[in-house]
Amino acid sequence: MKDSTPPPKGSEHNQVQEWSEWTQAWKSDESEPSQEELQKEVIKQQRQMTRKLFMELFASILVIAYYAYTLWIEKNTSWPVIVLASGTTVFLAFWMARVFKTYQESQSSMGDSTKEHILCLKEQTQAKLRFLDFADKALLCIFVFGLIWCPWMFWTHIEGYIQHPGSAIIGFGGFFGILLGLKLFYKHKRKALHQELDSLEKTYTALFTG
Amino acid sequence: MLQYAKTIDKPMPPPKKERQDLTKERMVNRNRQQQFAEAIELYGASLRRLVRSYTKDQEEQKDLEQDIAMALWKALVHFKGDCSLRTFVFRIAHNCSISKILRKRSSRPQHTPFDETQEATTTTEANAEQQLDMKQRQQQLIHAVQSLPLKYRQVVTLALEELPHAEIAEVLGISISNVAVRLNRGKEQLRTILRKERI
Repeated sequence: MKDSTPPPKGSEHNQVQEWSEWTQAWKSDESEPSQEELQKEVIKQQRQMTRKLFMELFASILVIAYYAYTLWIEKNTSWPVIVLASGTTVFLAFWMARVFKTYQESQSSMGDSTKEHILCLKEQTQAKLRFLDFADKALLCIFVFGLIWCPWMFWTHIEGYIQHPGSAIIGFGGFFGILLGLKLFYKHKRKALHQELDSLEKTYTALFTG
Repeated sequence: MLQYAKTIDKPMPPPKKERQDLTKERMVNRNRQQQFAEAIELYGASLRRLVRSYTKDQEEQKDLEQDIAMALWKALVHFKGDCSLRTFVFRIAHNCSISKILRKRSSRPQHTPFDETQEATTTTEANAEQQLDMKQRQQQLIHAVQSLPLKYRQVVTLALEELPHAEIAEVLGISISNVAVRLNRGKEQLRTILRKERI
C-alpha cells in the first residue's frame, strides 16, 4: 500500500498567515535614522569631497604650471625637457578626465537597478585596468626615453658630472627612482583592481545567473 | 451627525500609500533638500531595516546608513521620476550596500552582539509581554534573514517591505518570474532556519 501523507489542512492558508506574521514582525521595528544627523553627515562628507577634489585639481594645476614655466619662461629649454613636460601634461589631462568621468558614471548608476549598477561597476573596473595598461605603456616610453636621454645628458655634461657626482646620482637616480615607484604603485593597483573585478564577477554570477 | 461634522472640520491625513503617490508626482519639481528630507521621512524606517539585513555590526550599520544617505543625496540630482521614489530609494540602498560588501570582502568576522541596546518603555504588563514576544520574533526573523544567501535576502527583504513583485523586479533588474522563484525559495529557507532556531 502506498504510504502518502496528505498535506496539512489549509497549508496554503497557513503559509499566507505565516508570511503576514513575518511581515508584521519585520515592520514592528519602526525606528528611523535621525534626519538631522543624516543631513549633517551629508553636508560634512560633501565638504570633504569638495576639498579633496580641489586639492587634486590644485595639485594638477601646479604640476602643469611648473611645466608651462619650464617650457615658456625658461629660454634655454632643451628638447628632452619639452618632450617630458608635454608628455606629463597630456598624461595628467587624461588622468583628470578619467577621474571626473568615473565619478560621474558611478553617481548616475546608483539610481539604476542592482544588475545595471554591478555591470556599471564592472565596466568601470575594466576601464581602470585599461587605463593602467596605458599608464604602463607610457611609463615604458618614459623609461626608454630616459635610457637614451640620461647617457646623452651625461656625455654632453661629463665635466660637470665628474666635478659634482652627487648631482648625477640625485638627478638620474631620482628619475629612475620615480619610475620604479610608479611601476610598483601600478602593480599594486592592478592587483587590487583584479581582485575587485573578480569579486564583482562572483557577485554578478551569484545574483544574476543560474 | 456631530461626528460627521467633526470629520469634515478636521480632514484625516492621507494613508501612506496615497502620500507616496503624491510624492512621486511632486518629487521632480522640488529642490534636492526637500526631496532628500521627504525620502528619509517616508522610507527612513525601511532603510534601517534593510541595512540590518546586510550587516550585524552596529557600527557598520551606522556607516552604511550614512553611505546610503550620501548616495541618495548625490543620486537625487539624476532622479527624473521615471520610477517611483520608493523604487529609486531602494535601488540606491541595495546598490550602496552591495558596493560596501564588495569593498569589505575581506573584512573581520562579525562578533558584535546583535541589537542589544533597547529603549526603555513604560507599558502595562500584558503589553510588555506582547511587545517582548514581538521583539523576540523580530530578532529571530532578522537573524534568519541575515543568514539567507544574498540573492534570496534581497528579494525577501523587499517583499517584507510589501513591495509588489513588479517593483522588486524593477529595483533589482530581474524578471518578475525570477522574483517569484527567488521569493519562494527564500521563504522556504527562512522557514527552515527559523525552525532550527526554535529547536
